[in-house]
Amino acid sequence: MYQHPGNRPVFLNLMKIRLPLNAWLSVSHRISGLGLFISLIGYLALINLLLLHPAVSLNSVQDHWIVLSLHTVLWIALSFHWLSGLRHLLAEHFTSATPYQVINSKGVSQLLLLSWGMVSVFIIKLVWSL
Amino acid sequence: MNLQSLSGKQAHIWQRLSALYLLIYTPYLAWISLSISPQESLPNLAALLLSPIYLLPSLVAILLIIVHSWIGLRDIIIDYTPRAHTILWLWGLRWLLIVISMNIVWVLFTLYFTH
Repeated sequence: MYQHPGNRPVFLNLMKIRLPLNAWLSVSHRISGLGLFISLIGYLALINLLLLHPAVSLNSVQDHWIVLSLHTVLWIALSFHWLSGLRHLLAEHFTSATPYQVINSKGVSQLLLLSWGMVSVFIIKLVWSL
Repeated sequence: MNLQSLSGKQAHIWQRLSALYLLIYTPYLAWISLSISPQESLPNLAALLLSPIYLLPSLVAILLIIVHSWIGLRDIIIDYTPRAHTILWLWGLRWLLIVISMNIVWVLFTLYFTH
């Protein structure tokens, strides 16, 4: 029976892979996009419910925890996707060395995360009336 | 559908164009959402959202969200699903977007003609 001479199969422990912050932002851009898509399907389901069941009114469901969670997920995912998308677009537009380095610097990534954190707190306070 | 027929360049252009529009539309949507009273009823809300100032930019946004979703989710499927199942996933995504699009058209017609 054939055996590979190397040390295979290799177990890839995902927790030990160290990615730079920009790579995490890029992965998170995709995850937030997927979250947005799922929450938009949730909104569509909600509109269908309101249109197909006259007994269900907007006022009767708007304070339900599922609807409030939907608002929270949508706006938090959307704000992250918007901010990281803006950074992607800027990086593609300003391709000369200096602005490109600034846009992709760790400081800008941290500023993006800080802004997103502040916006997320604002969204949670607004949606849940805290 | 085969993987070779999925163009990278055209997809990139559409992804960027839709991203640029949605970059401007998203703050506009946030402003609309903040300005709507939480006690609004569905007929009042429908009347407000179906007025031309809201409807036209939102219709363009819905179309571009579908395009943006197709390209973004397509890339995720191509990158992360096992190659043997990729086409199946892509067909699933395509049909899901077709069903969603048809449902959006039905919702818009229902809101327009009944509220």
